[in-house]
Amino acid sequence: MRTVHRKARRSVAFAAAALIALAGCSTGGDSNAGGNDGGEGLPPDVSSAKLRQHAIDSLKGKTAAFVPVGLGTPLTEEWARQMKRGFEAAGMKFVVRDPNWDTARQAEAVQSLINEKPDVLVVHNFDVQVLAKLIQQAEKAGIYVIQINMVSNYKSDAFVGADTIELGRRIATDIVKVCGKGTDTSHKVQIVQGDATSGFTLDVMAGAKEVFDKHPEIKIVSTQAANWDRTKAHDITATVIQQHPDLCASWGFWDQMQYGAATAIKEAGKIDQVKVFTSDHSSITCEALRDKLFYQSYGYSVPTQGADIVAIAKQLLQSGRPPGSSRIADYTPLVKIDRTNWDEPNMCYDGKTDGLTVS
Amino acid sequence: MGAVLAKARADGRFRLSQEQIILIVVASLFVVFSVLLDGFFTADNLLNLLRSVSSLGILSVAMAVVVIARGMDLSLVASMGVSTAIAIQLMRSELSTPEALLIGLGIVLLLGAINGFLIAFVEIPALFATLASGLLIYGVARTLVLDGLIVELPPDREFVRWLGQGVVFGIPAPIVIFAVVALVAHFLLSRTRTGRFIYAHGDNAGAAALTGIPVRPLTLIEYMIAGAIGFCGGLVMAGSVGGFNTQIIDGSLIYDVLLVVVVGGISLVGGRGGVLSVLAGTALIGVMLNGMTILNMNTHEKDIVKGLILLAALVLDNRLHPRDEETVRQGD
Amino acid sequence: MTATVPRLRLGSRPPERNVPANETLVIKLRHLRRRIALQQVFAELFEKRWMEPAIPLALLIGVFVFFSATTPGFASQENLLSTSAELAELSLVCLGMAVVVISGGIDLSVGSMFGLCNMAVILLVTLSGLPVPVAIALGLLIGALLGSVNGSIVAYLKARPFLTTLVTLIIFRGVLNLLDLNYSAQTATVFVTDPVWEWFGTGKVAGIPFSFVTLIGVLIVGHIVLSRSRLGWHITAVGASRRAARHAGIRVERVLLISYVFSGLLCALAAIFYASRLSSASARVGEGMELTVLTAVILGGISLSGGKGTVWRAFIGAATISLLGKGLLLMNVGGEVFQTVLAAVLIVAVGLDLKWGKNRGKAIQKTYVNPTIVEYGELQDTRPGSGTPFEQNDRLVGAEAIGLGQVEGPEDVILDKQGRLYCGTRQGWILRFSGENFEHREIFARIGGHPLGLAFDAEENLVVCVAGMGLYAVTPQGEVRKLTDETNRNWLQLRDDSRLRLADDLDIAPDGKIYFSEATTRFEMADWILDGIEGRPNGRLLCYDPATGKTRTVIRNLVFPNGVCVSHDGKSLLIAQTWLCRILRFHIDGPDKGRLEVFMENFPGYLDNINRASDGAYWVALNGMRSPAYDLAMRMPTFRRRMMKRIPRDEWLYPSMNHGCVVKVSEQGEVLGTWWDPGGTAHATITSMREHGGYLYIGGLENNRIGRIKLDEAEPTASSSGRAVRSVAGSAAN
Repeated sequence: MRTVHRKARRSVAFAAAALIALAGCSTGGDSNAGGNDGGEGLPPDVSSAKLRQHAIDSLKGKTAAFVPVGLGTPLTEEWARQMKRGFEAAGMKFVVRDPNWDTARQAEAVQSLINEKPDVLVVHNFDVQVLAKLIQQAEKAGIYVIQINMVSNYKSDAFVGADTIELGRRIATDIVKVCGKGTDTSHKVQIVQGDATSGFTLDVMAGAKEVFDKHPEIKIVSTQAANWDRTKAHDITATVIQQHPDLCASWGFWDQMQYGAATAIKEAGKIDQVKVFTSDHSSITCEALRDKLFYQSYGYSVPTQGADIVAIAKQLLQSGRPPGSSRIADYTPLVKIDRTNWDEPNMCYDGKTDGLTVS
Repeated sequence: MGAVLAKARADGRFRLSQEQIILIVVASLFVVFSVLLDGFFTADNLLNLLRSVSSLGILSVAMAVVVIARGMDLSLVASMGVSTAIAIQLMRSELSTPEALLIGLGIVLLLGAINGFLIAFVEIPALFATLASGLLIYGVARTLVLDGLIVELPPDREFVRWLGQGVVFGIPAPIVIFAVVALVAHFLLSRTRTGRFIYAHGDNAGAAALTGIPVRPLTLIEYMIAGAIGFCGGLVMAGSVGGFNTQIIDGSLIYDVLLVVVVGGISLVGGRGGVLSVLAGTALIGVMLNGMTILNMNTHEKDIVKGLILLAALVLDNRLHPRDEETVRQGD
Repeated sequence: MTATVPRLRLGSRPPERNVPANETLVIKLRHLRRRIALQQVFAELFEKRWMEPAIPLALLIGVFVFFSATTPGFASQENLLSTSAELAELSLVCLGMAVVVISGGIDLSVGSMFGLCNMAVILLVTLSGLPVPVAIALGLLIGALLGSVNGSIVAYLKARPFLTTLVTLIIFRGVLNLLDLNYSAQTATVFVTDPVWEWFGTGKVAGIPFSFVTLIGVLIVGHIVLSRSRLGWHITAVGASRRAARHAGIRVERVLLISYVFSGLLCALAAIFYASRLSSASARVGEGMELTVLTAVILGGISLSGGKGTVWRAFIGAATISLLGKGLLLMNVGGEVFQTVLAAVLIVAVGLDLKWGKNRGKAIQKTYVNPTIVEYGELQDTRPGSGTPFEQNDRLVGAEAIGLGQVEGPEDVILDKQGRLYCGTRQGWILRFSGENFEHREIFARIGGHPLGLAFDAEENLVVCVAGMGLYAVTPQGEVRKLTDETNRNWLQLRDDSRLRLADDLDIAPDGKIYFSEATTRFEMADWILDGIEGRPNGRLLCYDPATGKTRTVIRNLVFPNGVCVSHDGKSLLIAQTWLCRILRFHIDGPDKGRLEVFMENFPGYLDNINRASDGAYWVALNGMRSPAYDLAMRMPTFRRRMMKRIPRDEWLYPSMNHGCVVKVSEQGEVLGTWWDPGGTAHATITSMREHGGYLYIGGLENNRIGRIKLDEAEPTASSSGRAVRSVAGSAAN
């Protein structure tokens, strides 16, 4: 049933795309005749009707594709939800390919999208290498590539996401505040990374290093990769908390994952002593703050990120610049969420609803 | 013939059962760790140790039931995880706790029956059937039933939380539940007709069938029992973490379960061992895991060590209870 | 001289069944419905050897066609090319798994080996500073080492392959995780620009990715090794039967070890391509790959029971799974759906593989016999005193026994010019009895199969129909020569019927052509009675022309044509059809040439051989008698089918073969007389008779003797052993 719908929708969309392509050819010819260098070259005195027409024409029937590392988490669902809403409102088609946390399948998905040539490709890089060559290929094939939250070694037209280096600095600074010199603690800190080669992990670690280098009293007792997996985080932390019962802080790079670490600490009865730091702000963060599992988290405006991607895609599509020639970085605001402000509206998101307030 | 028997009996005098050997190893490890490792021999650590292995122990009891019957349930963690997750997801709705638990139990029994059917009637070797069915169960649940990878347990479901976090007379609830499950399983295996049939099935399935034991329906029952016991373990896990992460199904928990069972002395050739073996195996693995933790090993190093021990246990099991290597069927 | 073999005239053929006088349309339609035999098509299809690889291939084509039709962009050149690079990696791993499965093992650690080799190669290339070719060689070595770990444990420590490799999966993955933890972050910022590395990742030969070209090379080499080399044979032998392989002197342990090393090596090769293509030093690489690979290999038709499979099957399976995954991905189906589909496919494939391997023979056997309706006319009374032409008498009771206890199953008997008596036996001999009272017995020729029909040609060669072998000739000196054992194949049916399965009886036409019947093309001699239970037109009439040495099918689809006899005028052929209890006349010369008509029908028994009598009449043997119960059963095909399914074979209802008689019929189709042996004490199952020198010689398929009675009315010189119309014979021989 679902596939039939999808198919029907797809064929309608294709038909529409074909029509629009035809129309686009004719208008393209017009604009060239007008001597404009691409869309950005619209003169300032262009009529609002023409400006509107240009905006509509450069978006309508275009396709945006999104390849996360895997759906099924509030983070990726929220992105997909926001993008779907934004792109479809702009008359664009939006497709998601779900590699289900499998690097090879992610590469495959991107590869097949390159063959299909959508107009915008949004990728959520597993690690800094795996899509590097493919992003390059995609841009060569005429696809605008926007990277989200986890950057690749190959920088593309745009990056949307948290300022991960700054995020690392800020959390490290906060940790130093509660565990550093002058506090009556062991100064021991555990770090639970995502994938070790993920752009997010590498950047956050870089930011953290800057801070911790200045504070040699902080002892990083464990730095392990839980690969964004809550169970792994739980297992790792359960071990670490036994090895270091006097741990001061546990810092995990993602709330979904770090929740496992927090529960492990709670199981060990140390949740009052060990401060659990994390980032991201899905509803689990607010719940965990409420339940005093987390100490604090940094949100990076995930719903806005989705909307930002749409905005940047629109800009790229209208700019007339060839893919691969822009380097936009859009760092979304970092919002500290702690036990005092978690119940304010819109602090957390759940990937399903707008304006969520966790109570 | 008489000589052979006499020899066997004479051997028996010197030979300890595998459980006894394991318990001796556990005791000596225990002593060694207590002496060498700081913070091992403390009440906290020991309770913690026990609590942390109790859900593993419960799952191992479940696995023991099928292994004694010369089976294998690699889908144990999957069916446990899916049924627990569904039960918890239902608890997020209006449904009452007993109803949700009953539905979860129903699902796990159904899954067990499917496994049993594939093995007994379609005659797919247990390893293949359960390897694939585990993935199938997980996949179907993820695509059609479950909302996400992680289901949170609502805080008002006191009973399930108690299963994981409660305390009975100063003893954490998971340990109590493990003890109860072990006792019930022991009673089932050693005092009931079904239990004896399960041993007969594992010892010699052909002979069991010839003596009139309904081996095929029995297989269904074995896998259903295993599933039901596994479901208890799943609830304990969910209760202690306050939710359930279905990604655990992809993890290496099933190997820990296998490790406990094989190391404990429940031979894969079937018909041997019992709940006591599971207890011995759980104790050994618990002490070992704890020791490795205190030795500052990370999870990957632990995985490697556990894998090596399991490998050694498999080879040893094969030496102690050899099978006919020449005519063995794929997946045996 | 008529050189051409007569062709059956179109539209001149009576229906291949007994047509009642007042047949209604409903009955006609019932017959028509019963003629269609889907079950038979399936049974014959699955009997084919090419069916096993054909099913996976069909599946592959099906998957390809399905996604090409439903998924835009799937069949595009770019997509297929990029898929081919991914497919190459998967196929290489599948190939390794296939070798292990063929050797009777299984290797679940392929995913971890793949991931570990990927990591190792990337580390070697990026961090060690070794030249890329050396790093690649080291990567292969690592793969081989990992494989040898599995192999040693399975082969020398005799551990269970399934669990062993399941555990090494965990161990290798643990090592991979450790490497990932400690080193992979350092690889993240290194860009390798070595041309060799680039070539491995993105190089193309004639537009095709280098990895795919390598795969084709590996497939060809693998095929040669597996099917043509000693090692390949050893691997197959060990997988098929370890015990037999050991007894044959094969070093089983070493062969097993080698197969696991192959698996590791191929995983490493695949990992090198993967590493150079994506440069992803992730700990997740290869997670869950074992499921994909296992499913692919089984889907390709490599049996889990070992000893069976080719590299091509592994490739077909890998391609199927690869295209399936790609198609689902393009259809926007979630990743976990693919996993689920794989698991379901695995269960079904393993179930089918095992069930099919176990029950194939049984299933074919159960569905092979496929009964149809056979109607009979009213059964004539044969009881003594009934006054019918077939009234029983005791004219055979006094028959003289020749060779009593010395012959076994003389289906046909014949005498030569010197009056010596020949017969075939079950042992595959032709015996010759000579002397005054045929007391001298000798083995005239050893043929090998059970000789059925006998006839002498112009040069006094004995032409013999041999069951399971074909048409043979024996010179007067006793030398055996094959005349023919095959005919033109009927391309309209699946079953290859070019071989002669049950040549039954023959006669030689005046022009020298040998006409012979093949009773059934579906059953062997031992199962000839099953053809009766089936009742389908499975037989045919063939003609061998000694002048050209060619054999042709003259009439196909006859219900059990048994006796063949050239008429006295040499212009037609009489064909006795056992299960239809009728005799056909086929005109082979004259104005009616090519016409087939019913000569006599509704005999009370089952017909066997026909021979000419000395007085212009014909002798017909009835090898068994019809009974009302069996006539009824033949009218009820579903009843017979159920009978075959539900009760053991020795309790089935069979046509009665306990006693029969010899009938003499005139050229006009009237019964002239019958010769009975009541109770069948001496001559049960009479299959042939031959008149010679005033005597009638009687043979029987189950008999231990040849009978002889004196014919009162016969001319003592005439013989039915000779050929019809001798005057023409001389010219035909040339």
